[in-house]
Amino acid sequence: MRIVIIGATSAIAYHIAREFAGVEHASYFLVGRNAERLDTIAADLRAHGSPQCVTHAGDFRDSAMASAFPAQAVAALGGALDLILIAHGSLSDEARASTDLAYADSEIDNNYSSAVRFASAAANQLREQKSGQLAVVTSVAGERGRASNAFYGATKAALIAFCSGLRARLARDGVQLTELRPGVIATPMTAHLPRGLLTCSVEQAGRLCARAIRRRKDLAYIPGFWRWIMFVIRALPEFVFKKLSF
Amino acid sequence: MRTGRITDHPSWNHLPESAEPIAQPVDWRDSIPRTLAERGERNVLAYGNGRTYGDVCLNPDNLILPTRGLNRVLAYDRERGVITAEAGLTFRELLALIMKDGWFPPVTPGTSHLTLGGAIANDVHGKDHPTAGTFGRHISELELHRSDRPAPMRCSARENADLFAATIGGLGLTGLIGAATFPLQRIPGPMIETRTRRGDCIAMFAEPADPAFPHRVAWLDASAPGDESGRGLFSEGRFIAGKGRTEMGRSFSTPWLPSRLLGPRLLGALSRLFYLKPFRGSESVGFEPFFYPLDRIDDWGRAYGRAGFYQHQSLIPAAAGPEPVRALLRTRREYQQSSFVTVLKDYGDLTSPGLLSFPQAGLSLAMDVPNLGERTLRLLDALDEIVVAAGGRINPAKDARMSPATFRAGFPRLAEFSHLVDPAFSSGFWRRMHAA
Repeated sequence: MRIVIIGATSAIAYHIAREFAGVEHASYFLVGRNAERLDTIAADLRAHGSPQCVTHAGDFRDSAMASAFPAQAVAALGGALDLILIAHGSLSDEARASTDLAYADSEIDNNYSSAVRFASAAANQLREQKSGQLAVVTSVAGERGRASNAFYGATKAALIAFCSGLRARLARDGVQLTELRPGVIATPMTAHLPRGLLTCSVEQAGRLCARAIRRRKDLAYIPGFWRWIMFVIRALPEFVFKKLSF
Repeated sequence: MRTGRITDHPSWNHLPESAEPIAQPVDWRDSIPRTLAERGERNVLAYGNGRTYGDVCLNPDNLILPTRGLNRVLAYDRERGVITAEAGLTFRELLALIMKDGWFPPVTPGTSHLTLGGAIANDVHGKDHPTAGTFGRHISELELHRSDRPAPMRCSARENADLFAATIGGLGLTGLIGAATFPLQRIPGPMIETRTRRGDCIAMFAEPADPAFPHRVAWLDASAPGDESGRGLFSEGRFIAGKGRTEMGRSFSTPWLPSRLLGPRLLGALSRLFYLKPFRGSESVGFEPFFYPLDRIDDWGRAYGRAGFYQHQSLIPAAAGPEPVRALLRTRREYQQSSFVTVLKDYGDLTSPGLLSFPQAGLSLAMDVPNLGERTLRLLDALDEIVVAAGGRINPAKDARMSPATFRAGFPRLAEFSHLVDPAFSSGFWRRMHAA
């Protein structure tokens, strides 16, 4: 099995990768920002059973990298790609984004525009192969913009819409798009938030994501109970919702 | 600065803690120098998985650095059985990787939930101390991040040997352990053959050990009358060939029980029932119930309620004979306090490089006591007196209240150790030992 991961040092992506290293003994093409951290992840995946890990460091906002990665991955891994996982992103600092518009721009580029560039390049590769699977990590934050994360939520909302459209287009070529929509996962990205009953460990999130990918799901909430929480949150009338402080 | 809440980072015995530490998780080794540089006026302490029983893992009013994100395996030689891993990896994660290849850690303590860093910093031991020694004894190299050095240091018996010796059993005070290398032991299969006997376990430890059964431990019945104080179940175990589960089972969570529910009477009755229950003299069991019997119950410490509990683990050196162990059990009885988990082990004379390593040849008695306030503290002080008089020591990893004098009496190499403490590191325990 040949897997490409965009944002390979993300805690969720790493835990998904570990599942496939141990069971399927997958080979990896790992793309991330920090070369040293990518090497650490690669060493760990080899220890867990992967025969081959190739790393590629770069800036996600660089559009040349997005268009070049599929060919590089095919060359490095020596064959058609089975899974491309797009998992990079950052939880934007809402207060800073609302005053520092350059920062807001770069967050939107990182969380939305670059994800779309990578997903498009990935889709083209998989359509050409007429096989494989694309998995994209979005967030429950994309289902309704909240006062505390309007910027982050909006980028994820746009990405969810894009995934929906791309899924339908890819289906004609036998390519599956699986959207992974996590709730609150205990990762470095959310380390500053209080941990509550709803918080899921990153190990558990990795297992659930791997299961959704193996089952070739269209959409999986991580964990599944978020489907019902978000159903309620979406149903709240605005006059109630705008008074909530979360 | 990211902040965490105390409830996220408790100690295992849930003793009430007033001051809140601030948590700055460490997820990548390359970020450690920056984290140490940005500590400001506060001192720091690594926090693994919170399985120590007192304040060696706490740092009130200061910074703790949770290390669970450092859980990557950096190298694993399946053929020769050698592993290098980051310090936040738990034994549970390690076992999930190595057991299916027929390997086991060189030494394992009684829980799989601790991290490698915690196992080194507290120089943990298992039921096979006479033949295997401590975990720290098997570490061939470790990576140490210090606030006074720009780059991580490689420490081993040959390189930076003084810091290597101070870090093993060094309670996290010599810097932050980033990664460690150690050999694994080959096992014939994941099942354990056990032999169990009922009777005076203190006397049984005095009998010559059967070398075929390296793992030996005794559970003592806290309800035993004074003249039968050492009675309990003595069990021995060894790995045997054959198939069995290599994955660990699911665990169950414990609700908070009322603080005084598990009082002396109920604990005594439970102990007696456990002592008298029928058992098989010989059977084969999975490695998990043998090594990690309490890991099936998440957060079992909650059974003692929100008042928490104390654990008292002492070492009585071989030279003092078994009499002080009997005196400890008698004293607990005189103070009318009970314990369900009363465990006796013997240690051999394999030494650890660690300057503050707890085990040395002799008998070690560990018991949990529910926190009943002042009278529990008086009991624990009385127990300490017996230990000090016998030339023994108290395990800091299990302690929340010993006096600085008891600590100094137990660890003669303390002065040597103190010179190697990182100036930016401290802990609740360390400050308590230096309180005027």
